Amino acid sequence: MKSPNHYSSEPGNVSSSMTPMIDVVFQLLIFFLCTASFKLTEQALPTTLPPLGAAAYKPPPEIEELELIRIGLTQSGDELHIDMNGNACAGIDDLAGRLRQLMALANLPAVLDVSTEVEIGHMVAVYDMCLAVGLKDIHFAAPDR
Amino acid sequence: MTPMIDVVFQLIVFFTATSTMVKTEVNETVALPVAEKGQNQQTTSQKKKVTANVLADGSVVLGGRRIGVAELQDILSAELEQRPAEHIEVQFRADRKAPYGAVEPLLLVCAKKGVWQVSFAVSPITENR
Repeated sequence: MKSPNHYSSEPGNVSSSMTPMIDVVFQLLIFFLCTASFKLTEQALPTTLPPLGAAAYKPPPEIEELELIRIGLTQSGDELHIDMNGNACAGIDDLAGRLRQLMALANLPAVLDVSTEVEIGHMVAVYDMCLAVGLKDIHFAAPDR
Repeated sequence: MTPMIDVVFQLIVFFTATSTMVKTEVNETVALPVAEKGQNQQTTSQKKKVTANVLADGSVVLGGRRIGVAELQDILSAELEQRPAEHIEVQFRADRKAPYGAVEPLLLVCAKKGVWQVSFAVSPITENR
C-alpha cells in the first residue's frame, strides 16, 4: 500500500490552517487584560503660592481694603460659612454674584482665609468658583500662629 | 505552526513575570473633590511631581507611608538638591472630607521652600454627580 504523499504534487497548492493563530491572539488578549489598569480621570486645580522669600501673602499696609478681596471660610458641622471682606454671604452662589460685581469694576487679587476645620471639598468648591468668575490672582492666607 | 503557540505562550509568561510593576502614587481610597475648572494633567511635563495623598482622617500618605511636615520638608530639600524649585510640582490628592488643617502646614512648607507649583487633584464634574 502506497503511503500517502504529504506533499502535494500540484505547485502553488500550499495551505496552512489559521486556527492556531487564534490561540496566539487569545494569549495576547489575556496578557494585556492582566496588565491593563483602569484609572479614574483626574484633573489638577493649580494654585499659586506666595512669592519667593515670603512665608505668607501679606499685602502691604498701604493697599486699601477695597483693593483686596478677603474670602473667609469657616465650617460648623456640615454647614459652610462664607464671608467676603467681613460681610457674610448666603452661600457660594451669593459669593459668586458679589465677586462678579466686583470683577466688573476691577481685577482684584483675592486671599482665601480658610479655617482648619473646613473640608477640602468646600475649599476646592470655593476656589473653583473663584476661577470660574475670572479671578486670576488667588492666594491662601497663612495662619497667624 | 502548532509548536509556535507554546513558544509565544512562554514568552508572554516570561515578560509578565519579569516586567516591573510601576508603583503608582494613586491612593484609590481618596475621594477627590469635584471642580469645573480642573486642568488636564500634562504627562509630558518635565517637572518632578511629588504626590501627597491626604486621607479623610487628615493623615498624609506619600510613597506608601504616612508622613508629617518634617518628612515633606526633607523630601522637598532632597528634590531641591537635584533640580530647581521651578521644576518641582507638589500635587495634593486630598479627600473631599479631609480638613484643610491637614493641608495648610504642608502648603506652608512648600511656600517656605520656594516650591510654588502646587495643585489639588480634582475630579471633573459629570452629569452623574
